[in-house]
Formats: sequence, C-alpha cells, structure tokens
Amino acid sequence: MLVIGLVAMFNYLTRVADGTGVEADYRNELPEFVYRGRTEAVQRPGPQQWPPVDTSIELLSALPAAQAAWSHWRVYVLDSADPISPATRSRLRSIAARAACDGSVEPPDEPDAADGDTLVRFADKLSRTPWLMGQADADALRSTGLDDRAILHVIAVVAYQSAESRLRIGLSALARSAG
Amino acid sequence: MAYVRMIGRQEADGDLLDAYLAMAARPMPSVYVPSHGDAPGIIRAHSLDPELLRRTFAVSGSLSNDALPWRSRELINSVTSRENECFY
Repeated sequence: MLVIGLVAMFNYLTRVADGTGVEADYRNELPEFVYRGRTEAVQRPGPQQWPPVDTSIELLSALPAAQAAWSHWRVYVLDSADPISPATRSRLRSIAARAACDGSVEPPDEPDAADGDTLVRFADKLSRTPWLMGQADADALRSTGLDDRAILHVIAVVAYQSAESRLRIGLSALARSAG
Repeated sequence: MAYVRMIGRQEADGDLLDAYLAMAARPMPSVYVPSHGDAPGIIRAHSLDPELLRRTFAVSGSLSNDALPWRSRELINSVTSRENECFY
C-alpha cells in the first residue's frame, strides 16, 4: 500500500512541477534523467478495458497518518470554493480521471462555460503529456481571466485527481488480489 | 523561468513564511536541500497558497515513513517521475 501511495503522490508532484515550470534543483544517486523526446501520450485502452475501481475503498486505510493527511488534502483540493469554483474543480477532476482510465468519476452535468475549451485542453494535456507543458499553456489560462493562484489550483486539481485515480486503481487491484 | 508566480523564502511573510519554516524544520535527506539556498522548487510552486502547501506536504511527509528505507522510496519516486518524462 505504501508503494502505491508513493507512486500516486509522485503523479501529483510531477504534474505540479511540469505545470508550474519548476526547475530541477536536486539530484539523487541514480543515473541522470534523460528526456526520451516523446511527443505523444502513452496509448490508453478503451473504457471497456479500464480496470475496475472500487469507489467504496478507503484510501490508505492501513496507514492511519497518511490516510488522515490525504483526506485533509483531498477536501481542500476538491471542495474549496476559491479561487476556482467547485463546478470547475469537478470538470477538471473528470478529465484527469478519464485520462488515468478511471471511470468512477462522472463528468459534471453543467455545460462548459465560454472558457471551457481552454480549460479542457489544459487539463487534458497536463493529465496525458505533462512533460510537454510550457509557458504558453499557463498564458492561455491567463487569457481567460484566471490569476496565478487560480492557475495553481487548476494544476493542483488535475494533479491531485491523477494521483487519486492511480491510488484507487492500485488499491482496488490490491483488494482483489487479497481476496 | 517558472510559468506561475512563485514567492521565495526571502520575500515570504505571514502564513507562507510559517509554512516555509515548518517545512525547513522537517528532517530531510541532504539530497533534497537545493544549492540555491531557497526553498525547494516543488515547495515554492505551492507558494501562492500556503494552506495548499501545508496540506500537500503533510501527505508526502506521512508517506515518508520507515516502512520502506529511504533509498527504496527514492527509487519508486524516480521510476514514477521517469515514466512521466519528468526530471523531478
């Protein structure tokens, strides 16, 4: 469960790093990272082949401290009313979940706002090809009127759901294998 | 040059400064301490929302427990990053 949690968390951190343009400022003992030059997302299977996700599963239940911290984090990222609306969070969340082959997050009912296309493109790119994010992507969101704190929240919601979907898929698989 | 505004430790005050000080007080492998002397970039990326910063890194801190040795955790983190074509 800890391994699944770490993988999920780094799916959040890598998307925040790529979405905000963080520069590399630490190096571990592993061979230096070499960008492979991929310009396309890894091919996803069709929805009928997505892994089953148990939505009733408690996230990180065997790790009480991590479970409490994750829950506290989740509420803030997915439910805050400011600086982006819950409806926008819900839309971003469903895009990130689908990109992770997680069919458990329903798309919102409300129609997209006028700036919806820009938001959808940003969320889909950050979900599927985060390493291709650049200044122009953040600028596109600015052109819709979002300020930098709002852009950070857009990135955080997409990155968070990318993590949660992988966590749920992994924990669901773990539960099936156990029993 | 970052795509989103980031506030460094020198400019921080109030809640953000408190969050930076709390993060700096956590035990941290030396490899995570950047040579530029500011807070690590991934932490500064959250600087426009100190509450988001606190809650996010409370999770990463809670996953950094001794159930797995640091070197194993670092390997898992690095493989995940590389699968995402990310240097981080």
